[in-house]
Amino acid sequence: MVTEPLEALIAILLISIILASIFIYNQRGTESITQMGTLRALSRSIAGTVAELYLNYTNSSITFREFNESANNFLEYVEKKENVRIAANITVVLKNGTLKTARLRQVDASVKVNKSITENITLFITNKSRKWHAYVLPFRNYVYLYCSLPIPSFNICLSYSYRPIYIYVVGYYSDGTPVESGSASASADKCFSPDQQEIYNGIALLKLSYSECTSPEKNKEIKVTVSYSIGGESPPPIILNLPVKDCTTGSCKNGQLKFDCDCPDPTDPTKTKKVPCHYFYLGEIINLTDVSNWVIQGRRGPNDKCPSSGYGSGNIPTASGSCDSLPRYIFFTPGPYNLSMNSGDTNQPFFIQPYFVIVSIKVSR
Amino acid sequence: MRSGSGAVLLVGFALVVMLLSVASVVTPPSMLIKQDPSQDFADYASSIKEMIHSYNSLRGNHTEKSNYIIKSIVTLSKQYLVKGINSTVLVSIIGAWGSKMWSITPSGATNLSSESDDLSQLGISPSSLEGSDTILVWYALASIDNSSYFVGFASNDRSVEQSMHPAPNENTPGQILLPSFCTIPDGVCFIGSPWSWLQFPSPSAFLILNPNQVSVDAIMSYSGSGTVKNLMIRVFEFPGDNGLVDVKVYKWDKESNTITFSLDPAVIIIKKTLNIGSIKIKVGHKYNVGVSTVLLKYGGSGGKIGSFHIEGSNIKPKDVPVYWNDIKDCIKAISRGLKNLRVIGGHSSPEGG
Repeated sequence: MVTEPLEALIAILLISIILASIFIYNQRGTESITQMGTLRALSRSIAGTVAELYLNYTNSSITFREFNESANNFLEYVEKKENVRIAANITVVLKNGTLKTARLRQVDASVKVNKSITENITLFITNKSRKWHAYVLPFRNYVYLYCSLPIPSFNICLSYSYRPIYIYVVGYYSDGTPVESGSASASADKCFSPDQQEIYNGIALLKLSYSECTSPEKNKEIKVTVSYSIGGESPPPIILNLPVKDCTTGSCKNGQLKFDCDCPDPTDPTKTKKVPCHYFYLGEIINLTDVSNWVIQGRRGPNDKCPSSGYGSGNIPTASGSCDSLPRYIFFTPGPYNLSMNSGDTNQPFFIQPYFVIVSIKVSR
Repeated sequence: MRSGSGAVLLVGFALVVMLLSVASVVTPPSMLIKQDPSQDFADYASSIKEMIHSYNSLRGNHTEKSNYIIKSIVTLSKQYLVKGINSTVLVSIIGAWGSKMWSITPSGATNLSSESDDLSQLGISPSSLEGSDTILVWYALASIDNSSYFVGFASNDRSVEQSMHPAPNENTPGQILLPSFCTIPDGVCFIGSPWSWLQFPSPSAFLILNPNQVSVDAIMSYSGSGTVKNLMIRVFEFPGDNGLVDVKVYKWDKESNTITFSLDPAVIIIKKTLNIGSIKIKVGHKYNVGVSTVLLKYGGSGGKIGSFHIEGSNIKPKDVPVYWNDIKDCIKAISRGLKNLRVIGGHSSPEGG
């Protein structure tokens, strides 16, 4: 067989093209492996950064929106720099083990994706920092004056008295978990006997009982001095000037947390007793008694409030409903909260227990 | 002959290029990426430690606290199974009310508590356990392909946790470090009670491993102010999951407080199913990894419990720090880790069988 030079050239060209096609086919496999490895490293570092941002949010005064915005800015930057698309979710684990997921960032579902990797980072937020904070919260913002010797038929009162003054001292670490121990004391400038209590699991309830007074009077003010000591440190005392409020007409209400918690008995930790429940797992319902409305204030500043304006009503499920358009399971990060009831008639603190958070990042290319 | 050869060449070329072009779409390159699980191990360890450290600040009695902890660990284990990390977690909680124990895997939690967990049956006064509960968590992690292992421990009592990872002490002959990574040493490994720090005779179990290729005859002595009673030596059988079998070949001399016993090297059979095309072949590998386990249970009548020592043996004895092991899943995890280490370390190789 005789071969023309032109045909030989064509044959060599065609064989070269075939070999190049085989090479490209093999190369695709190698590239895919490299790209998957790169994507995994990228998704892991992104998830770690978002988890750090979330931890920072839970321990600072920024709002969830500010956290979400900064997380989105970071993810947008990475998207442009690495030419990828990133979806981010935050999932919380409720008391009964179920999961609730909130979306931090989503990608356009209509865009075709060749490869994607999802990375989850699981966090359980507890006291990494031993730096503590404390504050004082009066059960009432006033001193409750009532008629101890009424004559209903004549609608007159022969003698007045004060109800005890209750003061909460709340201590917590920077991550929101309650301080383990401490002590607190309070005394009034007149009419009430002083009290001293141990801070147990972040809360001490001081009771200043009415002792003797020449005459309980309206339109007066009781000065209460509150001291506390945590971790061997004793900050300057807190002074509360509580006005006396005439509650003889029944205008003052007594809403509070229900006594439905089997909490450890501070006097005997091996036993439990029914007490107002100051500690809630995410997913539980905060049951209230004799309460027409409420407002919850968190520790991250004035914007950390539920609802942001007006009042809430009824019992408070921690995993359903919303707070200022945030799902409650997102609003309630571990830590102390102040519950103000009946338009400020009564206040009580409560803690949300630590829980698992899963930061999930999906990187697509 | 020559007149049609150009057309054939062109058609052939077009066919080859077309086939190669569509090949990557029709049958994309199959890749199996094996990723390093060490970071996932570290993440798991960090998460479970943080959770256990928060036990004291959780609300409620031991039942409510433990329920929350158990559910959270199940969720954690499920999450990591998705990432290719299998886990076996033992949770033990002890308090004045008694003690409870669970085994947790990604599929759920199993309560291992039994009547023997009633401390009073072992002559222990609940008042000696005043204060908050102690939670001990032992976890064994394995990559899904069983190529990497990780064993760790966590407790809400930091001093207990610290004592589980002591530094090597040159002044204690035979004492070696058992770090978070599973490194079971050669020799008879005597693993004491995790509750030995408590000021009362512990009801806990002890574990002896025989990671040797030969039978071990040994004498173990007890020294301490407490009195040993209810002694029981049991063996976990490998393979077969037959559970606990009482050992008859041991002698307990109450006068001298010594126990003479014999441990045979165990044999682990691992069955594998190989898929060759549409045919499945079952292959059994017998690994003589020399793992034997013995469980000792004892109670005391008062005073601080002492300690057990391997006094004499035909091989070099080793005391190792404490891990709490009571069920076969954990023993399996250890034996898997041991097999892995031995193969890597070149001390022995799997024997065909």
